[in-house]
Amino acid sequence: MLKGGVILVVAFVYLGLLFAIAYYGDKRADANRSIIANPYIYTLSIAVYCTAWTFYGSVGRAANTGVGFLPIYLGPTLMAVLWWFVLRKIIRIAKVHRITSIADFIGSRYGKSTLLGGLVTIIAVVGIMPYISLQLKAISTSYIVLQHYPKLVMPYEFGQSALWEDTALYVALLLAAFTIVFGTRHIDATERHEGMVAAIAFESLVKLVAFLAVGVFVTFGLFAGPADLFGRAAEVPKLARLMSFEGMTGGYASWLSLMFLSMMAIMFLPRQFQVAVVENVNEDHLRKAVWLFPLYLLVINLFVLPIALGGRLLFPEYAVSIDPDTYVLTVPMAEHQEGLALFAFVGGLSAATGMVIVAAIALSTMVCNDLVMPVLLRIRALGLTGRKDLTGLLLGIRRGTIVVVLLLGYLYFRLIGESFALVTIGLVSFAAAAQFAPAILLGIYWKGASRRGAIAGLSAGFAVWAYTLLLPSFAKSGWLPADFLEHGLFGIELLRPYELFGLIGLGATTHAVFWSMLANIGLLVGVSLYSRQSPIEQIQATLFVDAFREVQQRREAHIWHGTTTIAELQSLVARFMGAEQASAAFTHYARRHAIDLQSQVSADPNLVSFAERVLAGAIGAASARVMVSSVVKGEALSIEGVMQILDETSQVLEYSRRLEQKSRELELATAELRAANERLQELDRLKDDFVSTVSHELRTPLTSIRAFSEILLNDPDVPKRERQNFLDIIVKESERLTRLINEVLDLAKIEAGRMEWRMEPIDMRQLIEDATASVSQLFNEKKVTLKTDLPPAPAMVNADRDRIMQVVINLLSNAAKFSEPKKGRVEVKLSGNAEAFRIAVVDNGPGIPPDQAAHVFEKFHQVTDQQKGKPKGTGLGLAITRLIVEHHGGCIWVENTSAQGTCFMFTVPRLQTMGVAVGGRAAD
Amino acid sequence: MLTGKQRTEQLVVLAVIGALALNYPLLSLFAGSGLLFGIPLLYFYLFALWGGLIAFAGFVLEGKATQETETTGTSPSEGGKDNA
Repeated sequence: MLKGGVILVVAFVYLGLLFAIAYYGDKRADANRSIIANPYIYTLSIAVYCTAWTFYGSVGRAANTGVGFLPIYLGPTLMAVLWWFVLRKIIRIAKVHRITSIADFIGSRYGKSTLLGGLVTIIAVVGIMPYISLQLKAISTSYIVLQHYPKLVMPYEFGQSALWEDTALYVALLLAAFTIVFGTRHIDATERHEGMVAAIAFESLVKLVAFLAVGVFVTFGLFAGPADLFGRAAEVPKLARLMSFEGMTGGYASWLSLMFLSMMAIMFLPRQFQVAVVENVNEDHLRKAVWLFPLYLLVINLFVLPIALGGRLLFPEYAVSIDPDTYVLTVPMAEHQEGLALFAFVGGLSAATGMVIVAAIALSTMVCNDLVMPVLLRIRALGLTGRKDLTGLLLGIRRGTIVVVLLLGYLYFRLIGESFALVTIGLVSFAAAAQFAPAILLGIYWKGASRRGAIAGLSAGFAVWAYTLLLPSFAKSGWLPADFLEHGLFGIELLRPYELFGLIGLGATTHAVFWSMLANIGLLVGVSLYSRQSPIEQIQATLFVDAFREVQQRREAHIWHGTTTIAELQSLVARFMGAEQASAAFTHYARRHAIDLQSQVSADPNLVSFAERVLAGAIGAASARVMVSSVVKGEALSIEGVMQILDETSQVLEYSRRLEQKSRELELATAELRAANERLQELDRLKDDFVSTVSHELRTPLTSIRAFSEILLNDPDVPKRERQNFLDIIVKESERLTRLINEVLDLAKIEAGRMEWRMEPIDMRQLIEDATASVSQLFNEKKVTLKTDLPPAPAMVNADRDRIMQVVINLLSNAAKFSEPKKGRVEVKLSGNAEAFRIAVVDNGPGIPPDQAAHVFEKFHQVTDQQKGKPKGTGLGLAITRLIVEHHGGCIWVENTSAQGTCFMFTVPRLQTMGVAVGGRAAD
Repeated sequence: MLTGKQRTEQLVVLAVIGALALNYPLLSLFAGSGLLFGIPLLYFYLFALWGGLIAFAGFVLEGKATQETETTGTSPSEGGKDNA
């Protein structure tokens, strides 16, 4: 039954079925009744991740390393959990900006950079080449193996076949034709291929069912269930190793790096980006895909180990040298299950074709939009910007690219395909796809990532990848001198590709991942931090990072700031998409925004942005920008536009800055309030002190007055002399009481600001003389000498004469009080400088202890440590004195506070008027 | 009601837990040979964990309070139908 012809017929029937599905899908899409607009189809299309690598390679890897096949599927599971915000954000961005490929995405993010888009495209093409070759190898191998049924032979037993006899070449050409037919039928504004997605989803079902069928056959047909299978395998020591972690080559480091690689690959392999982002219909489909896709992976992996172990048990010790990569096929064949083997072949075919088709379409879009078109458009000699219809050219480029990509894949297969296992080849591609991760992930979360940083990081990562993975694979296959592996480039040992800079102990893949990621991320971050972004870069960075903010749409309009006509714009779009599609797009736009395109001539910025987005869908963001700027006259990017976009970001900053300021002010006010409160409490305490002191001071004289009055009242027989004495005391105490009350009133008046001040120009000399005269009696009584030292010139000040007199008299009477009779000497000195006069009252009394000097001016303070009992004053005199002096703008202090005597000094500001007038007044 | 932010946090934590459980050193606890219900312990552990991750992710995203808040910003409708 399994003759070559039959196999071919089955294969063609299968491909025909695929084509029918794709055709139907496209028809439905054209009729606006999409069959792929549901999360299940979306999930199945993402399952294009499972290629021939999974179908054949996983079993091969499990047969050699046991658990080693799993990280490739565990990684995507972890990543899928994060999809809900990472991938959703990418999808949102891609929709808004009409992103058509991963190169478009990166180029667009970094200022619609053509260079970057081109670079990504080149990396993608080179990086995916091994992966495509893997699929070709799988298809041709499986065909050859199946063809020789019932014999079990391996392809390498034939050696290298001639080019025209090589199955893989025909497979490549056939797949190219197939991809062209339903990948590039027409140019679509969104670069979406509904038919293709439908076909891919179908293929995902086929490969899953086929693999499960083989798995169930092995587990339950050849063995009595998994327990039996594992039990028998456990008896063979070599197989028992596969069931523990021991079998894993490279250990935990390799395990981790494979997991990391697959996490990146599931997002950033060009074909995964194509199905998950570009072909996404509704981002809410992710909600199901997040858990359904890992579930698909889990199910398809359930039987990998059973098939691997079953194969190893069936073909013990390589009695027949069967490549474990073919177990899925050879085990049913060995058991003469022809139908199952054929089904397995179809499953493998579907796994491989699915990958090749999507990858080829994704790559052709990239090569066309981000590599070829930008170059062609810039070559003025071709006059492309003026050509009427470019859709044919676009399609031509894409078709050509598909053929070239597949032939490149074939070339890689032809050069080195036979020397490596499937998985090893695939990992080379994974490592290449991982190079896109830093530029994208940092790009959508960090506005600072710059174009130069991305270019530097990508180039370095790619270079390291090529040097540590790609070139060695050529060397190992004999196409490059092998000694470069052992001795490094130019014989420099440090440059050995598998032990770069002497790093040993890691597997080849882990080693390459480490160095390439280090270079990539390091340069991206480093260069970004030390380079400036251009305005368009800043705008794109903001748009990408803030993709979930609603203000989006409004902003974009400001990017275009020039004039063009609607007709011009429409004809531009028509050149790339055909007149019909262009006019449909414009009509739709007009309807949605409720504007009449006929009545307007010039296009507003919104319409220009819209046209650019539509074009971007067809030819990529970078090219679209070039094209639109060719018809829009004037500044493409206005300063206002940039400011507007920056404004919205800075507004947020401004708000938070103001908030901070407010809270600082609040803190300040709180501090002030607290201080005021403390001051109030202090004043309150002072008032209490004052009241209690005043009461006390009032009670003392009152008590003695009352005591002596009572004596006189009760005892009429008091001798006259004594009576005289008592009455004398009563009078003195009453005077003291009166004085005290007067002073308290004065103090209260001054403090409350109710004192009336009669300010007038007065001569201090005159005043001092008057004062000394009025106290001379006191000094004479105590026999204390009083001298004055006055300048010859008038000392004019503006002051309340009575008050200043009170000050001088107070100081003089204090001096007299504390001077020793007979020996005492008091001197009043008046001196002056440009601003003020200084009056000093010096005595030679006991002096004031230094620790009390600061307090003598406080209310009720009396110098207490006097030998002679009761203090002689009220304790208010100096307090009042200070208030009066301070009211005049002067100050008062005490100096010379030693045993030699005391010197009170105060100043009064000089009168600030013409000396003549003052002189005149003074003379009165 | 589960807010979008909460959901995001739950998913991140889930991914971190998964990453920890699927790697050294936790993984090494199950790395030995030995069968559990006739299935190698290591595989049993990995697949059970895998299934658990899927179940939790499904629970977080498809649980009761789901069809809500953050769907407000679903993709712009002009997605692909401008030219249809």
